[in-house]
Amino acid sequence: MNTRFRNFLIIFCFILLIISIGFSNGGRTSTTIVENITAKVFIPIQKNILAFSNNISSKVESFSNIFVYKTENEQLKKENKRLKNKLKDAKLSEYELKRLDKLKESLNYIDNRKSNEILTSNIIAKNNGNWFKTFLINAGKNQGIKKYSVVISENGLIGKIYELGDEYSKVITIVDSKSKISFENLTDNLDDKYQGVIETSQNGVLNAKVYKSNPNVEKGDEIITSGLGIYPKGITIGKVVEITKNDGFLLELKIKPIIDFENLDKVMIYTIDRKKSEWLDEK
Amino acid sequence: MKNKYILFWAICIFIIKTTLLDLFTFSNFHPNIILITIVYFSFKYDFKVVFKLAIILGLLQDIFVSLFIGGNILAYILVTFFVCNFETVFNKRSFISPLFLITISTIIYNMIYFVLGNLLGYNLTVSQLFSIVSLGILFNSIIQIIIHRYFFKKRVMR
Repeated sequence: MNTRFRNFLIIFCFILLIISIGFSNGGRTSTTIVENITAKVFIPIQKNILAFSNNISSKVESFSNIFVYKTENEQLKKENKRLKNKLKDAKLSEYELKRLDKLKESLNYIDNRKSNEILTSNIIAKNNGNWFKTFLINAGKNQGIKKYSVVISENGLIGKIYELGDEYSKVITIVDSKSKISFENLTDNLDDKYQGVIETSQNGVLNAKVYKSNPNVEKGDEIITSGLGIYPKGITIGKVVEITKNDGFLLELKIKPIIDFENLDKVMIYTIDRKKSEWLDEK
Repeated sequence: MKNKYILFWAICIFIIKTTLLDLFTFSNFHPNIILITIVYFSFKYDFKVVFKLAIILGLLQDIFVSLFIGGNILAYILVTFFVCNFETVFNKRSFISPLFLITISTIIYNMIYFVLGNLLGYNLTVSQLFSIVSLGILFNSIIQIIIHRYFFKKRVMR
């Protein structure tokens, strides 16, 4: 291959790829037949190898953590006692809630909280690049998943569906997503409640702003989704690790996500309806 | 090298990168085995082979795990272009050669991703770039030197 042709090839590819990047950015709602066929070949192989890899890493981890378990066990016992006391309070609140529900029924109140379907899926491939944390799951359009469906685990919020194939979907985590996340703190005291928006992220930590004058924010506060936007209310996001700015009017926080994105193997997808997905795509 | 072997190598490397590489994480940092493969192949094969390998690997990565299609292909073909142009200058048996090429490849790859990411609206910072590049150079170089020494030693012995 002569040098002139080589240079021409590089420039041609460069232009073509820049156009491709521009078009594909933001995720696609459907993929091509070639991509779906390729995925059908790759998915079973990747699924089995990743399961094997996860199995090894979990065994290594449990062996290396053998000395940590004793202290962890003691901490869990203490927490168990604390939670038992909380459960008593919660039972009292539940009784109050039932009474309010009965009142709602008698007033013909329309409930906006539709019970969305939750699907469980396996992670079949991970983007082990160091810039973005994305991964592939073995559920797609054929399983009823829509773009922007919310992806969670038993611990909390992972992210959302970024791109859809027939039998697979690409998931983008909250630390890489460009979209804002509305949040609030988890507390049973109404006076201590504050809300805000997660705007950006840096090195795996979320940067957030609180919209309340003189809020009572402390390190370690548990942060959950507030229900505004695409994420349903009450999903754990993470914990406050740092208060970076507090001038009385504006408060800026750093939140560490509760999810360890490196050690995930199963996820749950909280599906959204087609109209909402299309509306978000247009936006 | 025949096309079917290039395809076979590309598929193997891609599957390892998206699955087994999870086992080799150093404080949540993964070495880029695709860059390592490209540099290693550039020592053994001509531009045409390395170029094809870079395109297939970039395409697979873009389709299945990237946020935009074209980013990885673009980065890998630019790395290939650089590596294949400079590889002839170096002494193939010297350990400095792979070390230099993997360092420059890591910088080029991450710089492209940093620029593209920021142009597309992702909030990527210079400090992030610095830490990814420095850790990348360290881990990729270690693996590259091991591979280079092992394979070139084998060839000399034969």
